[in-house]
Amino acid sequence: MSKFVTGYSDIGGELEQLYATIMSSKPDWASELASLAIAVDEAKANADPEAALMATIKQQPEVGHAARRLAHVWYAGRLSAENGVDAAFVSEEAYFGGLIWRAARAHPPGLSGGYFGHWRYAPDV
Amino acid sequence: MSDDLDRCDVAVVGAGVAGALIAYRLAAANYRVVMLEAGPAGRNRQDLVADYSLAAIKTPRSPYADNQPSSPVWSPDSEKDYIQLGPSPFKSTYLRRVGGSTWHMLGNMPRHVPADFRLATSYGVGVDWPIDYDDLEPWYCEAETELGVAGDHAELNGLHGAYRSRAFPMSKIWPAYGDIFVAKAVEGLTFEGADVRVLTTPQARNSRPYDGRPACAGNSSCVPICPIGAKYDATVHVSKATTAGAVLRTQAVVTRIELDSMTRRVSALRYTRWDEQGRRDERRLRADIYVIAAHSIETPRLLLISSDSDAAPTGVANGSGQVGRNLMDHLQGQMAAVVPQPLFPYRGPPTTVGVDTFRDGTFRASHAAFRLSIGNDGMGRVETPFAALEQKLVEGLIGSRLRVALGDRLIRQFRISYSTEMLPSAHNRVTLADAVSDSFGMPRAQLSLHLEDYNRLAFEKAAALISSIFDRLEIPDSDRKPQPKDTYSGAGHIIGTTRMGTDAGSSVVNQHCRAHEHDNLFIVGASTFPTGGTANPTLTVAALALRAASKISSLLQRGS
Amino acid sequence: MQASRSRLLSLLTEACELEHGLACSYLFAAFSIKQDLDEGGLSWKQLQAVRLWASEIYMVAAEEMLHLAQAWNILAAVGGSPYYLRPNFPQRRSYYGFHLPLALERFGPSALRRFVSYETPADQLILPVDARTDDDEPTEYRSVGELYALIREQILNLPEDQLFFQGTQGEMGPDITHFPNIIPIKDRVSALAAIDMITEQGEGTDYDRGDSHFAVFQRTLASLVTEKERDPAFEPARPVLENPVPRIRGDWNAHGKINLIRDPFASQLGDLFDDVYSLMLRLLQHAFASGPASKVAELFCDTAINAMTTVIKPLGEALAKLSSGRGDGSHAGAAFGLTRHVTLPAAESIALAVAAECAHELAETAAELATSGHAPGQLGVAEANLKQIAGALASAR
Repeated sequence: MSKFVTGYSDIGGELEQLYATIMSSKPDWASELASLAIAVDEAKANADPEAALMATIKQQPEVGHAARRLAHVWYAGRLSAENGVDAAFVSEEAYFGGLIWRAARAHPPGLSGGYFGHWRYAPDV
Repeated sequence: MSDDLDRCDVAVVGAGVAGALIAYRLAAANYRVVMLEAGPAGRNRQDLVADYSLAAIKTPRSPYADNQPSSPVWSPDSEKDYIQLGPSPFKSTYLRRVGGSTWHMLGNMPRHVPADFRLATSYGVGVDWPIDYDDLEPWYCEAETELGVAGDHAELNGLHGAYRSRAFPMSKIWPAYGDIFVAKAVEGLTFEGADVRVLTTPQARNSRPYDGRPACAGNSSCVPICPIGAKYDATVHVSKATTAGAVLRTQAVVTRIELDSMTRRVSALRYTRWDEQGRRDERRLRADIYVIAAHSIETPRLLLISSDSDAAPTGVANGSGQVGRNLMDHLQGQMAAVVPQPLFPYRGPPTTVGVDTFRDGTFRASHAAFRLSIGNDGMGRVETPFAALEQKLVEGLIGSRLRVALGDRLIRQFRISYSTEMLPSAHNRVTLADAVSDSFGMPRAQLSLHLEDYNRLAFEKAAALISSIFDRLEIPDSDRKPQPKDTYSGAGHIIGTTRMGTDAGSSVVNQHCRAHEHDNLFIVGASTFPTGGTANPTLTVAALALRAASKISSLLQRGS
Repeated sequence: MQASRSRLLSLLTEACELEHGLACSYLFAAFSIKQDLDEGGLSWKQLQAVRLWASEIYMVAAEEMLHLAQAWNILAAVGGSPYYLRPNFPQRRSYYGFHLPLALERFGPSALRRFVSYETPADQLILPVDARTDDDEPTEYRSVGELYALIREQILNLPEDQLFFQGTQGEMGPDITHFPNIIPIKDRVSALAAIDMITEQGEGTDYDRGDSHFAVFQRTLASLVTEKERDPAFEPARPVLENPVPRIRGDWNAHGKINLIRDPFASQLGDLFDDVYSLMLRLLQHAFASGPASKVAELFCDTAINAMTTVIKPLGEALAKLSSGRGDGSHAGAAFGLTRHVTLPAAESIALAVAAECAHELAETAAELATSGHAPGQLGVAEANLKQIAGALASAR
């Protein structure tokens, strides 16, 4: 489900376990995520599963909320802001493993992006 | 040395770049030097990076848990942390710890240009310095070598008359992919009759291994911390100073400068050593020469607090009434945009090139000089990557569509910022908030600032220039995010407050940073700048400190 | 040693081979370093450390490339031709005067110890000098620095007005080459300054030894050993083969153990790597042989450096992440194999046509490989960048 929602097929490992633990500790996530799981399964039967899920998201706010929360934690490395207040990062690994930096073809600030001068050239990642 | 009263040749208050350089030079010349630093020595660099990575908002102070409230020497992290008397807020902050604010500086190291030293003579505004570019040039060379500045000698030699007698110790930091694109796009552009050229920025950031520190590896977190020490910070010279024999006392807050009522010379520093368990220990340090290097807010605060009804009724070194006055910053703004072509930001140092064309010119009679920084960090605070993510999620995107759309936006985010010179003004000042004390019983500082038309007009000019660059980049109006009118941010450049001059009636220190009124007292740092220019101040701070160290050394040799 | 132009050309050519070989073995080690937490075996702090080590090794490799370019400038200025050939890896101990084998080995204590010995300052050498017998012109030196001392001696002992030829060959400068420290060579002063620069970066001087390649490798080795002691499970490198090759050809297998990549996909990728690497060298050779006055010099340099940074590097990393197919858990790796490809012809238009055609073919091969199911992400990046490079060459025709 995480892979489907984020668009990255190679995620998993310790971060997945970490995020699963966090989600299971939050009572309001459980039913939402269950609805999302059903919606993802249904979407997979379509020719364009992503488009199908995006359509479901528009119709079912609960599914949309869950998808946004799930994608957010993977991309950002922290939970969504609440009442306009940004959450702290879940762990150092979560911050440094945030997909947002992969999407930008860059690297998280605070972690080397490579050799001296690589920024002169088009990204090699 | 006895524990409650000791004696040395030179006592230095503040282990930032100015204090550390002086301590290093004098300790290397075999003088007994003691550094008193209010803040902690700090933890291992990786632990600071850990705190940075976990912080919800990556503010300048975010890696430094030991400078945050609950610490008796917590440092300001935003304008809200100051007592502001207005009418405009003062927005730049500093860090009280070994190494000082260089920990979270960006690291740009331009020199002042010759006209910066004679603003009054050249343009009829501000004041002249008691020294000129020629006096400081050899010390700029020394400072570039000490700090390790990477730059393009041929390109910058002679900029607005600022000749260079020595090459940089390292070749330039590479411009970023986007910088090269922008530089090509602006070729041939003129603005108000001047050629707009993109120049590389000299930076205290290694372009190859230097002084035992590695080359920059593009961590892109220079503000607030370089995880690998490729960017200079003053811990380099604190450690050189202690290796050379200087004594460093951390968590040692100087609470009072004591004067001899007969000679008006400084007779001792009173200081309090503190620890995390709340213990306090009062001590006193005597020296032949005293150096106050506590940056431009703490320095005047300490001088004012140390007023002595007999020897210094309005504060130490304050016979002119100038202590605390002429508080300056480089008021900044930016224009952000989404560029049609990918520029691939978020890689390399946050900025590596700029436009120096408007750092000098006859226009300085009517509006501020300014420097543009071409950003390499997306849209800066206007739209963070996290904000872009939020926006794409709200649009209902998921999966590969989210990945592609977010990536497409992030690789095209861009900003150019401008940084303007403020004129010195008596009513922009640091004073004591007599009713509000810190945990050492010392009155806190309070700040007054007035935004002048001199800067407002420069904001407009800079914005117009950036617009013409954006035109060259063919950025549609709808993708531009201008700075709201008359708003600004701080540059982190806290300047003024103990200005140097030849006239004891209108300045605090002389051309060697020696107090006019107390001949064994030196005050160093950006607080001594009579005017701010448009250069990031650290290199000039370092050059002046090295020059002062040489003066102190010759005084000690003569036994005065 | 008797000074003669031919002796100097021979020494400079040997220096080219050596700098080139060092750059490749450093790059190989850097390609093998893990880059992400999801590769396993790393905490975030260890990730910080290995990324720093990788960047430091890339830094040194880039300086070896600068030294190669610098030696090319000197060669061109004194009547030689920029030289890019060298024996394939591994290179036998006796081949170079300093009696150290050059090999492709993953990042680790063993590789780092070898790197330290390559860059040891002359005054710290303890190795004995053995007689070398298998070369026409035996030259004895114990380190790279000593080889340059011999070159310096030749330059000092040859009459300056005869040694350097008129013209701009040898004057490739920072603007055109992407090397900010490269020195254009036109006379003895500039040639000696270039040799000083090379020696200082490699082994350092009394004042800045801490910033030399020697010191960087020593520091890295010390940090690696400390971290391994603290955490025995720490594994910073991908398990790449030593001296991997995609196929046996030419004189390969002559001088030491090579390891064939058996996985067909990795082997094809290995071929692509070698072909792009070879094209890059030919472009640079043409530019340096022609000098800055050449109409294609800037384009060829830009293209070659872009190929290095945005194609060869990701391909090298992709190879280090792929299985070798040997069934022992080992990964493939870049061979830096030189084939019998000859230099591009001197005529600019022909050189451009040949280079553009070659780049186009390589881009098509890359595109085909990128569609494979088990292509690592780096291949897609390399493929897109290669297409851009081929496009730049094509549009200049």
